[in-house]
Amino acid sequence: VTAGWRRVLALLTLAACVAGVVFGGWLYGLLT
Amino acid sequence: VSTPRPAPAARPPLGATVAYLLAVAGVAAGITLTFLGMRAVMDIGGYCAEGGPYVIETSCPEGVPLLMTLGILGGVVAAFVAAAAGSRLGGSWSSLLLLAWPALFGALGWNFLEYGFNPPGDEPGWAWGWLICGVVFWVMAFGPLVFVVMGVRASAGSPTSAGGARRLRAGASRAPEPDRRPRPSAAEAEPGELFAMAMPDPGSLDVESPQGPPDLVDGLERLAALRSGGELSADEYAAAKQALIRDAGSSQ
Repeated sequence: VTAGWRRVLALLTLAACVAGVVFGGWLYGLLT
Repeated sequence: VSTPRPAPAARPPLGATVAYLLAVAGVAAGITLTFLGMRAVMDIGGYCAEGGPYVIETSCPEGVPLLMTLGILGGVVAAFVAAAAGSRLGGSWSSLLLLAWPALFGALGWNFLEYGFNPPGDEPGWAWGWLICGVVFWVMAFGPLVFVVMGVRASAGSPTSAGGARRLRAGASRAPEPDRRPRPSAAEAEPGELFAMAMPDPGSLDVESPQGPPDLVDGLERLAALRSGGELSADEYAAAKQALIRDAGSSQ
């Protein structure tokens, strides 16, 4: 994996973390 | 005839990448659900119950038991999936999952501290039980990070690390010289150096091969012992000493 792809993957991982937090908050609001 | 060398993988495998990203999002969602569910329970005093044959004094907020179960179990499953997919990506992508530990315990510790300083209900004062839990959780969360930082700092100075290798390449035009700086004592060492001090000095691990030149210091010590024992005259000692030093010098 090249350094450029590593950077892309790192950014995608960060985005996945944010998306997971948002999704968790949305699911919580939906079911409570 | 030369065969072309296989090119390194230009991009990570798509399936593993998608699985990794989805699982990382699942871990984050699991921690979020646990965090929010814990706050809902703490809002009503810190404990609740559902089901069973007994009369329940404090029922759980609607949906919270399901969501906390989902958050904890789903988060654990997602962490395993992410670790497995990350190992297919190579590098340290699966190790990145270890950050879920400080994220989880940092978030839950935050809840304990916040509600410990402002407990629900009319009673004034702090909830010491929660404050203690918060401190314990934060120690669990951020204590390991201190060791990670120490390890990274220690390995950054190692010649085998990427940073150390870059420094070696930068100075490759001249012959590498042994590090003659005195090693600091434990009291004056920086945290990262404590790791390096615990490890043996790489130079001390150099072992002469049996065919190699005899150790000069050992030879000199043996000669001095023979001289002091009277088995060598002063002239013989001086000649042997000169020969030993000359041999050691020519063999390097």
